[in-house]
Amino acid sequence: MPHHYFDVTDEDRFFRDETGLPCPDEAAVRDAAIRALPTMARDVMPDGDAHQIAVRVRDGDGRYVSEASLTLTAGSLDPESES
Amino acid sequence: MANPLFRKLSDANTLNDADRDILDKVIARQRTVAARRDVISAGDRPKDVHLVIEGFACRYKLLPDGQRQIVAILVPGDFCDLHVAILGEMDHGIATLSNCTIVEIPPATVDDLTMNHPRITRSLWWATLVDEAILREWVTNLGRRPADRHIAHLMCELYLRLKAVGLVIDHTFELPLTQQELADAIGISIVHANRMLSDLRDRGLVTFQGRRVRIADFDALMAFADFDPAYLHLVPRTENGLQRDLADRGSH
Repeated sequence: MPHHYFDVTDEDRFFRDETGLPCPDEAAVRDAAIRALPTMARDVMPDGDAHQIAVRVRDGDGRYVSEASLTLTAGSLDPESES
Repeated sequence: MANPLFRKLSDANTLNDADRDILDKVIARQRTVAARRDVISAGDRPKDVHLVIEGFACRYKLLPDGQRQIVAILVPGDFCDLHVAILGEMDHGIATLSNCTIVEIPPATVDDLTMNHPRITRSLWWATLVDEAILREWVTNLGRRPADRHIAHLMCELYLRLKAVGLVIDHTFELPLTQQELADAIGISIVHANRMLSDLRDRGLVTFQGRRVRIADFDALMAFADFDPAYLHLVPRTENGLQRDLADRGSH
């Protein structure tokens, strides 16, 4: 089964996946990338008004073939507020 | 003969040589089970009580979509189903994570221990209560701890439980878990688990060498994981309520 590698970008931090995961087809690749996001987002400490986590998937030849991302946004609804 | 059951029970319970002889007989009937097989499946009504003597196993629940949650890791000296004779049928499965040696204890032996050996009976009760305490800690980890702390917490727990049965050598223990199995225990995806493992490696808290885990600085890992070993109840209850310093156990 072909291995795919799931690199994670958490704001400005990049984690290169050296282990990989066997994925039988494109749907499995997409599924694994999406499934990774919610629990990673749960662990994020909000450090601003927006926080993005992205998973980019490489195939065995090093080509990026798929991407999924999740953005947390926060903002004040008070018109007097600066931010 | 190495008897991890005696070793585990005698740490926190007062047992004597006669008790040891009895527990040596208890573990006499052994069989090997290959890695990644069910020892007992959900719905089974096992007649014998099972005990892990060698290797790693886990308790797990399966979801309809095929996902699995590992709810306990069993190490040498741990019972699989001490009270299944009372409860009737298994509400979860038990599978090996590595090649295992499993003991099958006939119901007559369990009855004999209960009727005639109060010290051993009390220590089995202790073992059951500790299993529950570990489960409470796992629930807390699953619900509230970030994944990196959760993994670190599990490594601290395994370190102390394996140390109690003599399976930590030079700060290192065997951990035959795949990344998928670790993810199933932590309740996260394998991609997330891989990321957290590389995080712990980068922080220098845990070294993974193939199927071996090395924890050079246990105190640092404990601090990172917010780990308090009290729930493992590894020290005997004493009359004056004072307990030996648990941190001693981790640091060497």
